[in-house]
Amino acid sequence: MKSIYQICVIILLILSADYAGAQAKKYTISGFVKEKESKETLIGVNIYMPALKNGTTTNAYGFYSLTLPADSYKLVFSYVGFQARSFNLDLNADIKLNVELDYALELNEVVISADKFEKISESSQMSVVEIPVKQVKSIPALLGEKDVLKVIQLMPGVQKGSEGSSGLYVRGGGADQNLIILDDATVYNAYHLFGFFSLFNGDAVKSIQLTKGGFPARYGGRLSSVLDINLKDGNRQKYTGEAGIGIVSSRLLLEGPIIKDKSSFVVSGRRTYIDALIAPFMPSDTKGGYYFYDLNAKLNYDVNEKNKLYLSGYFGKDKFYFKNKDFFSKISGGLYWDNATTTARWNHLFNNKVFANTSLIFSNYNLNIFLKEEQQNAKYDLSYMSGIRDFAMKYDLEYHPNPNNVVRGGLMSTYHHFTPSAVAMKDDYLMNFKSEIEAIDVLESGLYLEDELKIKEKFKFNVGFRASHFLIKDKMYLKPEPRFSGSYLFAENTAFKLSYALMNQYVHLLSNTGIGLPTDLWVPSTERIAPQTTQQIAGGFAKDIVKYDLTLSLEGYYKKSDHTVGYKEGASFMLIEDFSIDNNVIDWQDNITQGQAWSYGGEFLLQRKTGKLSGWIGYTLSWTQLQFDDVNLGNKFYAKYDRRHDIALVGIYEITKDITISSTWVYGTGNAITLPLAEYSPMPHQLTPDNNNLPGGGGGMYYQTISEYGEKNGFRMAPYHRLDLGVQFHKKFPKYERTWEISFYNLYNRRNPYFYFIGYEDYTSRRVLKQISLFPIIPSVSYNVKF
Amino acid sequence: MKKYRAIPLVLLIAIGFTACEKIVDNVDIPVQEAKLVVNCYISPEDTLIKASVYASVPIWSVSAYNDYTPISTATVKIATGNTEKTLAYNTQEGEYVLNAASFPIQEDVVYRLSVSAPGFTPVDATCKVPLQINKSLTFLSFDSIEGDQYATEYKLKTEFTDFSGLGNYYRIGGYSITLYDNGNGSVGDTSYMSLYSKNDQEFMADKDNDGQKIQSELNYWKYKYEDGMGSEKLLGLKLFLLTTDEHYYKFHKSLSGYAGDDPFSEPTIVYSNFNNGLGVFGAYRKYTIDYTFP
Repeated sequence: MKSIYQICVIILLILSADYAGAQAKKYTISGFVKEKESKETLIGVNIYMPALKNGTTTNAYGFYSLTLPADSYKLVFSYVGFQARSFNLDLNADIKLNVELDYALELNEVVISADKFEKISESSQMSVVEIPVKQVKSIPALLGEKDVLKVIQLMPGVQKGSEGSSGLYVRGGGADQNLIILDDATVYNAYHLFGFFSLFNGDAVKSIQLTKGGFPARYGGRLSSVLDINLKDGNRQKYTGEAGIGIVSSRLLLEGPIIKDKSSFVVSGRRTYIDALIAPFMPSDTKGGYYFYDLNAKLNYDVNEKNKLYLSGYFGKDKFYFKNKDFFSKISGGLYWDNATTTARWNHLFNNKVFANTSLIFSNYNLNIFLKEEQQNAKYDLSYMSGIRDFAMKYDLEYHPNPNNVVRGGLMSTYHHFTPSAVAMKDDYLMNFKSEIEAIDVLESGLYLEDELKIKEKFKFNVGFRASHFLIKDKMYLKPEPRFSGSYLFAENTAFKLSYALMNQYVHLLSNTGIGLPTDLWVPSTERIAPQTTQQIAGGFAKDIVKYDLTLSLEGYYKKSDHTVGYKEGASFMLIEDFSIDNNVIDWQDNITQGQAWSYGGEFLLQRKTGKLSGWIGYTLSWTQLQFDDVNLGNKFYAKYDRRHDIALVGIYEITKDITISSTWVYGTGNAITLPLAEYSPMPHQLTPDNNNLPGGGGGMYYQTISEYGEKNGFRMAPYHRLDLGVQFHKKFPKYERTWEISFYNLYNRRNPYFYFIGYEDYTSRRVLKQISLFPIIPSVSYNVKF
Repeated sequence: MKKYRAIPLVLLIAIGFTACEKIVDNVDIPVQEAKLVVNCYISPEDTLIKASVYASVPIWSVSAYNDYTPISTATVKIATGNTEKTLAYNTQEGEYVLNAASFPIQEDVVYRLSVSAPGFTPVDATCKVPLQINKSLTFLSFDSIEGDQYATEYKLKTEFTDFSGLGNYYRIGGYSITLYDNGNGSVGDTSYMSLYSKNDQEFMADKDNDGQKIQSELNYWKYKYEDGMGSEKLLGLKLFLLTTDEHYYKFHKSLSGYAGDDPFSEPTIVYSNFNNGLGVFGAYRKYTIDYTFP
């Protein structure tokens, strides 16, 4: 508590201090920044006062506020991909200034002025990655399915898991250590088709921001990253839309005003049609297939200048199913998993300096596996379910006392209802069987305060504190989480940055396949399983190379995690197999163990977000090690996705106004796996005398062949590399614009290993190491229209 | 038309089932020589010192398989201080044996076992016999729990108190003694069935419960016989509390978690304290309780 008190005192002292001119009367300039044509609010617009070398940015709802002494000011509003606008103001009363920005003329290289964009050297924040949605749509993708998470994987510090998977492994963290937020709602399973595609298709997305370290206090609950995705609000002027037809799916987005300038909607949907294409070729007695769909919808309404309401939702489902019928039997089965999130938000302006947002959030994830079999008079019925349901409330307050300070505070409380697994089985021969692991109800809360402050022109800080709280039955965890990030502008456009963050994670994903199967299970911390904790220190340089519109960042990080969740050796989570007649259900807590993790490395990123040639060069050098008392005989070992070198080159080039060519090349050190080296039969100590005359054997010698593995994860798979290429042909017609896209995934047909197994050399009994690779060169074509 | 209808199917097959298999030729696979696998457990409470010697079979270098044949040509020596004895191969047992009377195993003494065999790198390991025997084992309860149509399952709860101070290791185990009666008045053989722990409570370390009472649950079966096929009578139980050294514990604990070839399970690294070899050289003290059923 002492540290909370100290932080409050420091913040009050900073707020009470002010820069030169403290005696003059002060006024406030505030308002919203929107896109000119659609009136969509813009997030992160830079508002800069060249004379003061100071400014601010718009928040997640497009709001900004600047309180300054009475004087004349020039304000420049700039945003990536948009034409900057400047205003000269005589400030002698409070001013409301709503600003609309128009898209930049894309085809001419725009002359870059020093104050055009928010510079990375001027932000106190570090370890943040922002990718313009336009770039996501230009980068070639597997089967033409544009995917936000796959593009994030191309950033330094972010590794993909296995081939084709959308899972994110950020700075050595696990795939479950990312807080994925869609319009304030936590998304638990962000993947379709066993991880090959993510839920976020790009059409309905307004902004994407990934934070890898130096987390502001407003975020909590996960250890490794925060992926904050905001959906579009919808065009407030006219009805527009986008549609696309690809090899595996089709998409449609519609948006428009409900009441012009006051209310709008956006709806977007996507569905695959593999099932429909296969259906005609199925035998008449067999049916089966796979599909997924997702649907995003959002409504907003401006009650008045001070109050705005938003309602947004995501619904998605994956289903794999089969049916077979013959003279003797009928069998049907399959699995499906669905995600739903709903967020209702209310923005309220208390005055021109204080902005508040209240959110009510619902999130639900369900998995169901079913099998029904009928044979003459006997029936067999199996159903397996697991899920997690959240109800959450969030309140955020933002106070802009002067251009040197933005104070944020708030709280979030989430009620989680876990149903880890429930099995129901009916069998005419044996018995009816129902086994349910008791549903678990927990409450997770966070209370935070942070101050983004500037001292003189050169120092910027974000100092914050978060108190996180978790309550499960009689067990309570209350943990302090101090946060700090700061920058020092030591030369023009060049800053040194430093950050520290302590994070706690109270929910864990049990998955030992590592490939994002929907059978992965979310479970809470319990009395036995302590919350995972990570401390991260990061430091680095950020430079804006204004002449070429480039940003360069170089960062190093060190992370230490405690109570990291791992799997005991021999543990298996294919729970269904463990339900036997004697009701011997394995408690998931017996299968896991907790230990430590270390991750450190360096990241290089040279990025260009706009212009005829845009893209980035990213390189990561990293080490990730784990240690559990129960695993690898207690010795440290490298994590499966420990990746010494990771390179991503991304280029998007607009050859003419009609043709865009894009390409990515990725390289990554192979995954660390455990490979058997030899087989042998150890002889355990027998306590029972030899006995060979009864069923069951009794004591005496018994033989078991086991494998000698050497060190855990001591073997490296072959490195992964791949080149993708895409060409887009755009054409504008009076009423619509169309794009043909032809792309090639894995252009040079590299056979990257998906997994290794022990096989046999042809026609011999000699054992050899074999690999399965998933995707050879895969061409795809898609057609998109915008109207 | 039919011909054309197959085109999307072919495309789908091409997309969905393009996974291909090949022999890995672009990474160095670790090639290993066969190693000696030695298992030997010593105790002042035993009358014989026994060691088994086998060879491991490298997976990637030869086309051979494990056939469970012991190595009979090894030289197995046990030593402490300046005293050394050689264990002799017993063909019937398939093990190397030495009478403990000629080489008494003593508490709190370090022993060294060295094994060499033609064609193998020699191996050696040391272990120290625990000083004390934990004799605090007591029965808490017997229960019969429902089995299936072939057998009845029994549950046995026990308790003992850990020595204070960290670094104590235990094994709890035993067997049931049954007598088969064929129903015709003639009594069959006595037989022994191992007790087992469903809850992974057979091998224990005191790192989380130093000096405390430790409970464990053991189970055993009694077979049911169809009418006219005879019956089985439970005579008694023999229960052991072994106070072991760390090597004994680590080897058995890691082996008990071994899950075989389940592709959805984590591979288990089985412990060994042999330099250049596999298996374990461990020591223990044995405390026994006999229970006779009324």
